Amino acid sequence: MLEVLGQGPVGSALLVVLFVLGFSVATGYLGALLGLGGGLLLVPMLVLLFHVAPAVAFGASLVAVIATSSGAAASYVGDGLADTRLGMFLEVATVVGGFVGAAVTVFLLAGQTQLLTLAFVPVVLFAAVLMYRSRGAGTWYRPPADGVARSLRLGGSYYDPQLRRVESYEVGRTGVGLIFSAFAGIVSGLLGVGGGLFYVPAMNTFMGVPMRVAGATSNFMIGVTATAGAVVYLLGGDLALFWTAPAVVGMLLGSRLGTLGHRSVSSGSLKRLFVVVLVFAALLMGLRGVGLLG
Amino acid sequence: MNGTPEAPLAAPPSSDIPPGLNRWIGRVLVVGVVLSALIELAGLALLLVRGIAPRTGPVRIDWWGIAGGLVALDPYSFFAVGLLVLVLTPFIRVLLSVVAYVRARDLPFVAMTLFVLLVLVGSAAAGVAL
Repeated sequence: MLEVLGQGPVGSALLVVLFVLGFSVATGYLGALLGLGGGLLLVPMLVLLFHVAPAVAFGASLVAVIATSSGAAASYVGDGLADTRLGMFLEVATVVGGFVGAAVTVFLLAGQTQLLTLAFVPVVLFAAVLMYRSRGAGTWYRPPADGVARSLRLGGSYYDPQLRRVESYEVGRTGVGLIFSAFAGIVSGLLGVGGGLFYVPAMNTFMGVPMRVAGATSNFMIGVTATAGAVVYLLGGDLALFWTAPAVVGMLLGSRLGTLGHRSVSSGSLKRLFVVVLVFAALLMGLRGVGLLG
Repeated sequence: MNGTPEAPLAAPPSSDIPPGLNRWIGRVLVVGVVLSALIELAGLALLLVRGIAPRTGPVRIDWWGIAGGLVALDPYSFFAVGLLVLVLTPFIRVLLSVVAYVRARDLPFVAMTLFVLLVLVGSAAAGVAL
């Protein structure tokens, strides 16, 4: 792909821009449809196809994640599905993690190309496993509300269109939730992913937040957490400016389409496709990381 | 992972931020994101129209010379400013939340949102300083 660019005519630059734009629309669309950020596929695309250094690709991905998250969060905040109190509470832990993770990559590990490429593999595989095992909405574990949740008045209610009724929920195990969120923030900053794949299970599995609310709240949180990391990449590191522009525009478009076209697509087969793509991306990143793939 | 809603449905808000302010926060997010995408698109258009060879390697932004770059219609300055607008959007969102919780006299949440804002400002400062 890069050879095309080396020749310099505007036509080939246009081709590459259109390719990245199209790819980003597709990942943004899938991400919004399946509740995962597009960063998981954007990073492998930049690293594998265009030989962008991982630390630079992470920065581009984080910035694109802000675009999709803010675009999606705007509609969820508006219809009250995102639990903004819970989101704000967990953000206290995630922003610190996001900053620490980004600082470690930008200031300590930026030159460690192979290490960073390999570090991305378990995260992508974890996302594939989660996607493969994900349960439907409506059933969730409900721990009792703890003291912190009660004093901060966390928890609430939302309208569930599948059950056709208003469901209320309490929030429990806030300590575990905070620790898990801090960890998720660190991974987000370290590897340039949104972190939704950790926030959603943290809220749903540990804290007893229904899946729909957890997904919307996660989107609400991702933008702020990614920002804590992105400013470090933006102001302190090197940026892939040429790649970020089509990635931001494409992921924003794709995620809007994904939110709009949500009803008409069956998510079962899409999920399987996404699992296959994720495993494939993990395999290629692993091969590149150990030097078996040029 | 089915976290995304099917369609906007009238659901009781689970926060006690006044709905008016929640709508404002939503508007800020939309305006920031769309504005940033438009600036990035303008940069791409300039790059292609002016026939500038893409710099595919890492670029270090000269933030102090950015205004001159915009005037000179340098696509990379447009890319950088678009990113800056995008990154500023969540700052404004958090700032509006601080205001909301102050007006609701919800002290624990004033403290939490202020803390988040401080960490964001601190991250930016660390990015510049280090």
